Formats: sequence, structure tokens, C-alpha cells
Amino acid sequence: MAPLSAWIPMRWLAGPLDISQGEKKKEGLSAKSREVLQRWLDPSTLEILRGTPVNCLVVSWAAGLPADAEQPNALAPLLAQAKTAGLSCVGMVGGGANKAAAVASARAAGLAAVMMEGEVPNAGLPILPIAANPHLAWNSSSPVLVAYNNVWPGIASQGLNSQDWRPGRESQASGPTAEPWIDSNGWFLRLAKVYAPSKTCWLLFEPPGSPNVILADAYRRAIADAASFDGRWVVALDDALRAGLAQKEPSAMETWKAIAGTLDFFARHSQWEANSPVGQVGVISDFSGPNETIGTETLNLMVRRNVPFRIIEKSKLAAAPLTGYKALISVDEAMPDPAARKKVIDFVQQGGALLASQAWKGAGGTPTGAAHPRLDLRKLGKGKLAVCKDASPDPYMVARDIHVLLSRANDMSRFFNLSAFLSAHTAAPGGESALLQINNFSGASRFSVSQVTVWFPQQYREARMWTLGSDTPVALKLEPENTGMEVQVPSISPYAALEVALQKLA
Amino acid sequence: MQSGITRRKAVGSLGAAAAGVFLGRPARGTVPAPTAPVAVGKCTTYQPSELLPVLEGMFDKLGGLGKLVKGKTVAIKLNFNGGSTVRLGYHPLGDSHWPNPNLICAVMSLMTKAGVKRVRLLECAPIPWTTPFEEYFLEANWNVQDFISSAPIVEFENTNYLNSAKKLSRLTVPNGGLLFPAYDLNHSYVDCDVFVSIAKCKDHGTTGVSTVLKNLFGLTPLLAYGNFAGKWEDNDLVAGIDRIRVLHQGAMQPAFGAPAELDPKSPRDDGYRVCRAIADLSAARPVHLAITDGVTSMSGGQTPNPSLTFVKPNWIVAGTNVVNTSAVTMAAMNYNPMGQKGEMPFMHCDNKLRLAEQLGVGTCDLSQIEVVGRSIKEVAFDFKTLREKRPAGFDGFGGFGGRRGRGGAPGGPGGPPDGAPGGRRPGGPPDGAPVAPPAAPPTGREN
Repeated sequence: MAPLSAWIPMRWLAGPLDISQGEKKKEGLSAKSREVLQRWLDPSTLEILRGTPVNCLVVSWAAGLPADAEQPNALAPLLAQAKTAGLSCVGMVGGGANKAAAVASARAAGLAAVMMEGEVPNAGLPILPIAANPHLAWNSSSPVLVAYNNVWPGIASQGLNSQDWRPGRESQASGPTAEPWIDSNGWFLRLAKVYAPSKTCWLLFEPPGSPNVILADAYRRAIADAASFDGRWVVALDDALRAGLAQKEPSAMETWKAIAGTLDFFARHSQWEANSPVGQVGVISDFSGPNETIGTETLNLMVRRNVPFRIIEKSKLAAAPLTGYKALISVDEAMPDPAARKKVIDFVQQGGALLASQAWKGAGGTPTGAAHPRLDLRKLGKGKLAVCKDASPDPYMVARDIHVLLSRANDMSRFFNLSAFLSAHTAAPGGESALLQINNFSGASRFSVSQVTVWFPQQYREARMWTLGSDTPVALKLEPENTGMEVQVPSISPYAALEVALQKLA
Repeated sequence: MQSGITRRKAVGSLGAAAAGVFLGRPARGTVPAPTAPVAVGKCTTYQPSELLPVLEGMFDKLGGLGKLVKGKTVAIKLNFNGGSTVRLGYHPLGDSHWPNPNLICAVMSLMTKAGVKRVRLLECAPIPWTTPFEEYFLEANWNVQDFISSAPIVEFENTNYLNSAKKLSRLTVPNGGLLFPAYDLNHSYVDCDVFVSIAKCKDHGTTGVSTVLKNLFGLTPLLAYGNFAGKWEDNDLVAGIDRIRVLHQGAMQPAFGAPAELDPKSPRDDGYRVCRAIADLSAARPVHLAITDGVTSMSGGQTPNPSLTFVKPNWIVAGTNVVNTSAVTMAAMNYNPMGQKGEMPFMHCDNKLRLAEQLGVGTCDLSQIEVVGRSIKEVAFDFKTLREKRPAGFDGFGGFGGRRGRGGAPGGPGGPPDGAPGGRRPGGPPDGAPVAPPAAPPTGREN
């Protein structure tokens, strides 16, 4: 059995407890869904996992419902078969359940772990702490933390542009720039990496329900969105797919093959998890209390604007080296402690830029005289100080304004012919190569996903691309441009990982 | 400039005859449609070592830059259509649909050599007013420093906004105008001594072709002419990225106090409207120097999409009269600059050159235009045939209003045609092999 941190989990909905929970949902449970939940109790359904990297089943174990009592017995044949197949089974215990009893029954049933909020003394099996994003039990001894309250990655709503315009469409505008609004969990995984660098973060989220049709690429994006930021999605299939798989329908099997292939891809590239995020912008916050919304949303929107950043936990700011940073964001309500504050002021005086909350109003500097609707722009030493005029700054604008304050002259990458996409830029240990993972959310549009160019300021000599479904990388053409190098990418659908190096890639 | 005459007054009084100042010979002030020599140069790369001598030779043939720019503030209207991150395949923007940065810098360097005082780079860029215009260059992966070091003083201004001015500057169309009586523009188009239009030569869905004349459409600020002009959100970004509702469709009148159109009952067809707006603008804001970048370009449309074809015509056209220059450029593209509506490339629109000619800006009759340097025949590149061969739906005749509904082409089924862009640099694109010049009308007087 693989160590806990190497588990690749899949949500396995089956049995009376899931039926009961489905019935309690507002929309109820259809006869077909009930049948599927029953059907997935059959140990033969595990056959789909053969040859895939999935090595962990997450089953519903207890939820404080009458069906709790039936669930272990109903699952027994499935669990036995799973054990024979070398799969680890994790029981999910809901908030309303008797946790001690649930843990005891899980232990008795031979489950490898349980997943629940809170703790049970002397549990006798690992407990994977589960909590709402972003309030995980960072200090837990578990090597795996589980988060719920995540989003299904994808374009949340269609943006408004001039060619889409028709009367009444204004209300559908998705953002001030009419860029598509992309839901992603990347920001949270970045935060998790800071608070618990040695732990693996699992994300719980489900595909949108009916009438949405979830295509294979949507699943691949969901896996890639988490994996690009070093997280792991607890793969959850929609009703229609599970029904199709139970019947071994060819289209369902194809979708499953794509999902398994994507999981396999990231399992084979697990060494990328050792990479470190790169970024010249530091986001300083404690991400809690009154600062939680502004702090986390700033991270979310920095990801969305594809501005590479690193997180500086406020309590560690005084001891954190600020080398490599050119701009800082500090939009918490309160100023950091005096030592940390001095450090930031010194950073600005030496030429850095700071975008800060009103708490920094008295930080000094002389007004530049430039008009700005949101920022009081000041010169401080050799650097720039931009204090938000609004007591509650808009994180979207914070992310946009820091990019301007920093200037695109400091871009670590530039993208062409990509529209709705997110990128995760990391450096390999030792810094000899970099990895740029790109998730393309724009679907199969031939106008937006082919002949993509990515510019890097470095004089890279080698570039290669990994794509889902391929065991070998493709060498990419590099062209010198504007003192850096442009990498020519044939297409990105839905994901590509570009490895670039100053010397030959290993 | 004479003392006591403001730039604003000067712009108003210069009218269509402004180009004559540069020529060192009398402008045909009494002739409704002036003419001035147009220089054609062969240029196969954007290497400064080739660009500089070619351009210098062309400017010399036009009478020399010194007479035009010495001690002056020069405003250059760039031609940044489409987004800054949209490319034709892997081609940098300056190779396909924006004028090449090396060409712009070469022009600026030659102006510097000729004694220019200050160069201002202008465009209505769809970015917030708090974002410096330079950032748009950077987003396009252009090196801002190259521009800054090309002239003694270089300034960048996003002309979608007021910026340092308190209001937009009103430029009246002499003799009343065709679509609007006047246009409200950013002050930069008035606060300059010399006005230059540098544009790529391209096919254009709405008005046939896009060159130095069509480039003037982009003088109009989104602040007043944008799709959601007047509906300012509480931020620093103009809503909307183009002028389709106001200028293409006439679905709403300009905002921000800009004059309403002359006849609200005129056709709402963009084939009627856009070319008239361009003609008006060419009369209201005379161009002193027009430079068409035809070294490399694309055929089939004005904004990149995979159906368009990267081409290498290998020429530059420059002149002091924007209509004359546009006419010669069209001829070098193998189009008839005097064509009527319904003729290629004016399949669905009126001929903006003829409209500008009617306003007295300049003639589009090649027989009246002196071509200096290379002949049109020597350099002609056949955009017309490439366009005619394009599959249905990719013919580059899309519009945004009136005749073909919203969106227009491209958008038809099927993949890109053979010869669509491949590798970025060598290979693939049709090269600048000579083609038959336009059969009619005559190619003009050539030196």
C-alpha cells in the first residue's frame, strides 16, 4: 500500500448513505441516480481502476443519518475487493455523525483512514483533517489536509465584448475588463504550500450537476488546475458519467480514459511538486480575520491576471528575505509589527514598490502629483508607495494596479494568442530550469488555442512541452525576441507544461 | 509656426493643403483634390541597416525631412488595431498587422537626424488611463527603450482619454463634413506641429483596405465614440474596446459632448458610415506625412485570425498627402484606388479615398500622382488575387453593422486556406515577387 502522501484519491459514491444524502438534497434524487448509487456498490465496478494511478477510494462512511448503520455492511464487498486490489479506502465522516463510533467502525471495517472535521483520541487509524477552504488545520500531524468549499475550475460566465453586444446583455458582464471570469483553486493551493509546505492538499469539489454536460476536457482541467498548483483533486464523477461507466458505454469509457490518463500524467511528473513558485511580487498578509477576504481574493486575482507572485506570511515577514522581490502588496487592515514595517519601508526606499492599505497612510514619502482614482501615489526614497484610497480596496484592482506599479518591464512571461487561461510559473530546485504550466479554459476555439507564443526575458536555450496523453515531450522552437526568448507552442488544449532551461534539459 | 497662431488655429486653417508645405512647392490650394509626390521604396527586411537607407532615400525624394520636422513637435499616429496579445500565428505584431517597431524607430531616428525637437507616439489604446501607454507596447513585447532612444524627447500618450487636457479638442471638418460636422479628439492631435500617420497595409472588412488613411479612424477616442461611451463605471477604464455602436452602426450618438452626426436618418450601414468618418477625419486633421509599412503584412483581414495569410510585399510607401499615399499603396496592393462600391475591394462599402477626395484632401487618381523611387509595377504585390481566392466566409468582407449583421466574417466553416501562416520567419509566406500591376486605372506617373 502506498504511503498516505502518495495516495491518489477518487470519490466513490455508492450505497445507502449516499442515496439518503441525495434524497435530502433540494432537487431530490432521480430513480436513475439511485440506481447508479446502488450499482456502484458492485465490486466489479472497481475494474475501471485497473491500470490507473487511482489508489485510494473515498467512500461516504457516516453522516449522522439513519443510513449510517447500513453503509458499512453495504460497502463491505466493495471494500474487500478494493483491499485485494491494493486500494486504500478512506471513510468520509460528516459533521453530524457520531465521530467516535464512525472511527471505530471504520477501523473495524479495515479502512485505511477516515476524513473528518475535528479529532478522535486514540483513533487507531489516520484521520485526515477536513475543513472549509482556507481554514485548514495547518498544524495537524496528518501529511494530507482536505479542503471543501472549493470551486469547479472553469469559466464562470461569459464575458461581454462588443461583438456580443445586444440590448440587455450588460448585466452579464463578468468583469470590468470583459475578460472571462475563471474559477480556479490555484490561489488556495499556493496558500496551502506556504502554511503547510510538506503536506499534500486534497480538494473536494464536484462537477456541476444536471443539466450541465461535463466533457472529458473539463475533467482534465479540474485535475490540472489542482495539480499545477501542487494540489490533488479528489476525483468526483458526475451522475451521467458514473451511469455510463456502470454500463461500460464507449463514450463514458473514453472520458474515463482521459481522466485516468491525466492523473497518470501528473503522477509521472510528481517531481514538479518540488519546484518553488517564482514571482517578483510579494503578497503580505495573515489571511485571517478581517484580512481574510482581501488577502485571499488578492491571491485569487493575482492568479487570474497571471502575475507571478509569492506569499509572505505576515508573522514571518521580519525574518523573511526580500531578495528577488520588486513589489509588495500589503493590504491588511493593520500594519505589520514595527520590525516588519521597517523592513518594508527599507525595501521601498531602496527602489521597491509597495501597494498598501490605508494603514500605511503615514508611511511618509512625497506625492508624485499623478492623479489616480484608487491610489495615493508617493515617492519614497528610490521607490514607489501607493496607498489605497478606499478603506476596503477592490482586490481585482489591487491585482491590476500592482502589475502597473511593477510595470510590464518586469514581466516574467508574456503570452500571445491565449485568452482564458491561467498559468503557474515555478522554478526547479537549483533554478536551472523553469516550469510554466498553462491551463487553457477557452475550450476548442481555433482562434485562441493554436500557435501560442510565450516570451521569457531569459535567454533560454532549450524548451520542451509536455501535454496530457503523451509520454514524451515535444521540443519547442525558440526565437530571440526583445532581449529574451519566445517559445512557440503549437496548441494548448486543455493543458501544457513548458519546461525551459538555460542549458540542456535533463 | 508663426507667433500668435496657436496650433489649434493652425490645424483649422491648414485644411487639406497642409501637405504642400513639405513639398517645397505650392500646394494646389485652389484645386479641390491636391496631389503630391509619393515615394515607393523596396525593402525586404526590418533590419535597421536596410530600413534606414531606404527610408532616407524616400524622404529625400519627397523633399527631405528637415523642412518638415526641424525644431518641431511631431505626433505619430500608430496603427495598433486588435489586441496587443493577438498574433497571426507566431508572427510578432509588427510583422503582421501593426507597423513594425523597427520601422517606426527608423523614422524617428531620421527625424532626429533632421532636427526634430520632440516625437509623440499616439494611439487610442484600450487600456485604463492609469496604465501608461508604454505598458501597451510592453504587453505587445515591444522594447520601449528602443523608442525612447530614437529621438531627443519621446512621449507616449493614450489618446482615448483627456489626460492632461481639461476637455477633448474639437476638430471641425472643412465644408461641413460627410458624417459628422466635427470630431472631438484628444488634445495631442492638435498640440503638435507635424502630424504623421504610420500604418500597415492590410485588407479591411469594412472599408476595403486599411492603410494610412484608414488609420485615422483610430483618432476617435473611446471616451466619446466607444460602445459604452458616457456610461463610465466608477473606475479608470473606458467601457468597450471599439466604436461599433457609434461609428459603425449609428446605434447611438457620441458621448462626452462630442457633436452628433449630421443626418441621423442616413444609412446605418457601416459600409456607408465608416468610410465617411475616415474621410471627415482626414480633412479635419490633415496629415503631413503618411508612411505605409508593406515590408511584411497579412492578407485577408485587419485583425489576426488563423484564416489570414502572412505575406511579404517588401515595400514601403510614403507621401505627404494621405489620400495620394493611400492611393499608391492600394495600387501596390493591386487594387484600384478609384474603384466604385461593389468593385474589389470596396465590395460592400463606398470608396473612402474618393470621399476624401471630394472633401478636397487629395486625389486618388493615380494619373495625377507623381510616384518617385521605385515604380508601382516594380513592387506590386497581389493582395487582390489572394483575397479573391479566399474561401467563402474568409473573404475579409465582414462588417459590424447594417449589411451583414453583427460580427460578419471571419467565422465561416472550414480551416485556413493553403499557405496560411506557418513558421514565423523564413519560408511559408508568399514573398514579394512582382505581380501584374492593376490593369486599370493607369499606374500613374512614375519616376
